[in-house]
Amino acid sequence: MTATAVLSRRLVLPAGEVSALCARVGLPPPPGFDAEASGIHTDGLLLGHAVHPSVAAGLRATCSPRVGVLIRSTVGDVAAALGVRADLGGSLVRAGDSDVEVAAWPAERLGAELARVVPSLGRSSMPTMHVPIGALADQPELRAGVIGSLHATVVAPPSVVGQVVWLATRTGWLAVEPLETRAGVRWADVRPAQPDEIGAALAPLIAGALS
Amino acid sequence: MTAQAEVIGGVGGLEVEYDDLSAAAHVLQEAGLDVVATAFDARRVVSDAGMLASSLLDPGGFARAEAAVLAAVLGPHGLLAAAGRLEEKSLALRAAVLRYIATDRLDDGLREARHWAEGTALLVALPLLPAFATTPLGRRTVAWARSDDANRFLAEHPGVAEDAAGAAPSFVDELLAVAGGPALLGALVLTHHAGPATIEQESALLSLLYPAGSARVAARGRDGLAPGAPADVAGLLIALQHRNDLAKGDAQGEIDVRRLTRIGPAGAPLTSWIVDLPGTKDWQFDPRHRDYLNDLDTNLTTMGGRHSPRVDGVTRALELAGVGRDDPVMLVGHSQGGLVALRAAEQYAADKTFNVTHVVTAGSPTARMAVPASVSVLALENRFDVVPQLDGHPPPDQRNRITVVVDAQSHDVGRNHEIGVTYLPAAERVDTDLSNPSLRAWRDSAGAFLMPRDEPVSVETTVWDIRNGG
Repeated sequence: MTATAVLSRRLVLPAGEVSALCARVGLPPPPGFDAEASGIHTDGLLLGHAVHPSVAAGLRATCSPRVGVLIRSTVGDVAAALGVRADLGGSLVRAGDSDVEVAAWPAERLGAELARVVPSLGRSSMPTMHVPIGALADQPELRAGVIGSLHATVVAPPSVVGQVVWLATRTGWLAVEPLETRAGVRWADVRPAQPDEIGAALAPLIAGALS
Repeated sequence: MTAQAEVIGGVGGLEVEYDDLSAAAHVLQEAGLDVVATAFDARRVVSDAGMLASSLLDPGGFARAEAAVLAAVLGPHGLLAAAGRLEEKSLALRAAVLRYIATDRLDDGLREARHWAEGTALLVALPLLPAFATTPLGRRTVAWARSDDANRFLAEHPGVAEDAAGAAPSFVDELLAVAGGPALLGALVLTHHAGPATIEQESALLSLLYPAGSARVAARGRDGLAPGAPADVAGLLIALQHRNDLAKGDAQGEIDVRRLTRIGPAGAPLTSWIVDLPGTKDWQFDPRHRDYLNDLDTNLTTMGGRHSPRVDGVTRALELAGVGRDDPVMLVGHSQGGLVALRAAEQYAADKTFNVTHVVTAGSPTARMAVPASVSVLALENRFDVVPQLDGHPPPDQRNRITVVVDAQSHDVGRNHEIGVTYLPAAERVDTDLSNPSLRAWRDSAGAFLMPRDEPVSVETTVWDIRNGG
C-alpha cells in the first residue's frame, strides 16, 4: 500500500458541454444534469477525439460511483452529484441555471466536498425540538420559519441507500434526525445545523453503503 | 392494432388531481365553518361559490361535500356536530392530499435516483468498461488518478482552477453571493424541481421515510466456531470480522455476546462481556420492507442523542444474555456498528443499565460523538477511509478517547473501509506499539477483556438476532 497525492481540481463549464462530455465518455449524467448536449468548445477538454483523462476520471467517479450522493436544495435551486470510486472522488454542482462546476478530488475529501455544496445560511438560533415526525407542521416555529429544504440521497449503484432531509430557515439550516418510536409514533430531533455537518449527517448512510 | 400511449400531465395529470383534492378539502373546511357561523341557513353552504366551482373540477367530491352538508343540516345530530365532522373530514382529506403528494414526490425523486443508479450500475457491469483500463486512454486515466504527474495537466491548461490546499471557496456560495447573498435567498427558493417545499409536505415525506419501528430480539444459540478470548486488539478485530462475515442475508441483524469467565485472585469467578456489533449489511430503504434494525434508517438514529431501535435491541440482547448490571462490558463495532456502540455506551452511562467500560470502533465517524467519562474509547481510523473523515472533525484529544489513524491506501473506497484489509492490520500495529504511553495505558485498563494467552478462560459466545418488530 502506498500513499498517493491526488490533488483537487475544478472546471466550470456550460451545462451542455458537461452533457456532451458525459456522452463522449459513455456515462449517464446524474439527475439534475441532463441538459441537452452541446459542442465541446472549452480548450483542453479533448485530446484528439477523447475526453482528457483527468476530466474523464472525475466524471467516472461522479457518474458511475461506488457510492454517490445526490443533493437538491430548494434554497438557491442547488443540484449536486458527488461520487467516490477507487481512490478518486468527483462532483457536478450547479445553482439554478448556472454553469456547472466539474471537480475531481481525493476520495477522502468527500466530507469537505459535501459541505461545499450546501448553501451558507448562518446559524439558526432555534432551540432543538423533540417532536413527532408527523407533527412537524404543527410546530409554530417551523410553520412560520421554514422556507425550503435540502434532500441528500445516498446511492450505491444499483441501490438507493437512504435520504437525509434538512429544513431551511432564513437564519440557518435545521437538521431532522429521526429517533425513537414511542407508542407507535416516530420522533425526531430538529436542531440547528451548519453546512460542514452534512458529512456527519450522511456518514451512517455512506458507512452502510461501504460495509 | 392500436398503440398504447402513456399520457403524462395535462388536466388528467397528478398535479391537477392534487389541486382538485386540495380545493375540495378547503371547501369542506370552509363549509364546516360556515355551518357554525350560519347554522340557521344551510343552503348558503351548499351554494357556496367555491363548492360550486369545485363541482366542475371534482363532481364526486362536490356531491360528497354537498351530501355531507345537507346531512349535517337535516340529520339528527345537529349542525354543530355536523360541522365538527366536516372539519374533521376536511383535515383528513388535507392529510390524505399531503400523503399523496409526498408519496408521489418521494417516489418521483427516488425513481429518478434509482433509474440513474441502476443505469450506471449496468454500465459498470458492461464488459467494455473493465477493458477501458487496458486502453491507452484508460491507462492514462488510471495513471492520472494515482500519480503526482497529474499536475502537468494544470500546467498545460492554466485556465483550470485548482485548489491544491483543498481550500477552494464554495462554488455555490460564490454564485449565491453574486445573486445577492443570503438576504435574497428567499427569492431564490425554487420548489418545482427540488422536491417538497412546505413544512406539511416535508413532514408527510419524513413520515414515509422514517416509519415507526421497534426492536424484536431472538436468541440464535451458541456459536461454537467463534474465536476464543482475545489477547490483544487484533484478537478483538478477528472476532468482530467473524461476526461480520456471518451476519449476512437473513442473519444480517445478528450480533454476538461473549461471556468471559476466569478465576480471580481470591478464587472467585470473574465475568466480563464483549459485544460484537457488525455494520450495516443490507439496505432496506423501502419502509414497507424494513425487516432489520441495522438498516440505513437505524443508522441515522445512531447519530442522534436518544434511544434508537438498534440500541434498544442491543440492550434487550444483553439482558437476555444475562449481563449483570455491574459486570464490565466492552462494545466493539465496525462502521455503523461503532456508532451504535458509542451511542449505547452513552445511554448506559446515563441510565446505569450496564457497566460499559470500553468501546473499540473501527472505521466509524465518532469525532463529533460524546464519550462518557466512565468509558474508555479506542478508535481506529484510516486516513484514506472516506467514512471516518465524513464528520469533518479532527479526532478530539481527550483522556479517555484514543484515536489511532493509519495510512492504508488500497486505492478502493471499499477496501479502505474493510476490517480484514485495513483495520485488522491497524490493530496489529497497535498491538506491536509498546512504547506509546496512551496505548499502553489503554491496554492495561482493558485487562478484564484482553487475556494473556496462557490464562485459562471460559468463553461462551451467544448470537442474538435483532430485527424490526414494527
